[in-house]
Amino acid sequence: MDEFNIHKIDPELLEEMKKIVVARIRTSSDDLVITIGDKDYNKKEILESVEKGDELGLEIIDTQMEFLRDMASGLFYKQNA
Amino acid sequence: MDYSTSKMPNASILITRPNHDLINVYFFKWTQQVIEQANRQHIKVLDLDKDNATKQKFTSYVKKHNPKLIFMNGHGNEMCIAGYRDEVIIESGVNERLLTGKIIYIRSCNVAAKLGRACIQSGTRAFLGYLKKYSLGYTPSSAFHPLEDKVAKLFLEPSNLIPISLIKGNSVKNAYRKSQTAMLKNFLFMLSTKATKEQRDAAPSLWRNRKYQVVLGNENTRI
Repeated sequence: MDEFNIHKIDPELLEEMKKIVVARIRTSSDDLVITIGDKDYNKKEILESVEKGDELGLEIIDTQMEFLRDMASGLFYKQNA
Repeated sequence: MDYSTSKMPNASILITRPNHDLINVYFFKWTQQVIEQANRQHIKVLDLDKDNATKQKFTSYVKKHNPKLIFMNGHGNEMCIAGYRDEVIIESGVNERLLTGKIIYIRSCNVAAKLGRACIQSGTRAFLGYLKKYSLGYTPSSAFHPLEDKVAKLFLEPSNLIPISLIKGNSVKNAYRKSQTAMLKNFLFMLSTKATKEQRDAAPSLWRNRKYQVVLGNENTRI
């Protein structure tokens, strides 16, 4: 299981991650809502949260960075082997 | 024994599926697949739908019918799972003993982290759920027709495979494996050029659901 903890990350590194995630979200579809827990978030709300770095924003950053890390490590395809 | 076409005697499944907000409407609608499979297997379905998903009715149904499988939808956290209008139905340290001897699948956030472990310690045979927040992607243009939502389908069909596989007589381990495999297949589709933009953009959320979906307790048990 992943031991990475978004709440304990170095602030400078977090800012870099925000830039990556904001760039990804900006190019995403307007016709997509992601429900996380008990709330629905559209693209605009997700962008605002990521830029602010609030609880939802950290959740989104964590999700996106985990996706990118696992893609870079080849985990997607290892699990499909 | 393969129960895929035969009658499973005396088995029943208890389902909670409130519908008081949009994600619960999606769960409510997509759970119909599970009910249809149970009907095909001649398994009695105890359906606590909409405002019937209350603590009082849940407790009464569990005690009266002793279902072997309980499938719960709703909002939750590490300590509890809720029903209609977020009324807490099961809470760690309060009433998890109600689930003793049963197989539990909860489609909700974080429930496997603490509630699941408490259930296993209290004698639940197996517990399937999520260690982190459950995410669902959907397209607002399909929100009035959840069953036609081509993004939500990629999330909800694989998660339905857990109760459907159990109803068909699979072990908990096999039900989990089938769900994991189906999520991976959908995920790889979402990364492909065949996927729509919305499906592709929702891929990280499905990956997270898959990664943090877990099984606790006896993996070899079945209903």
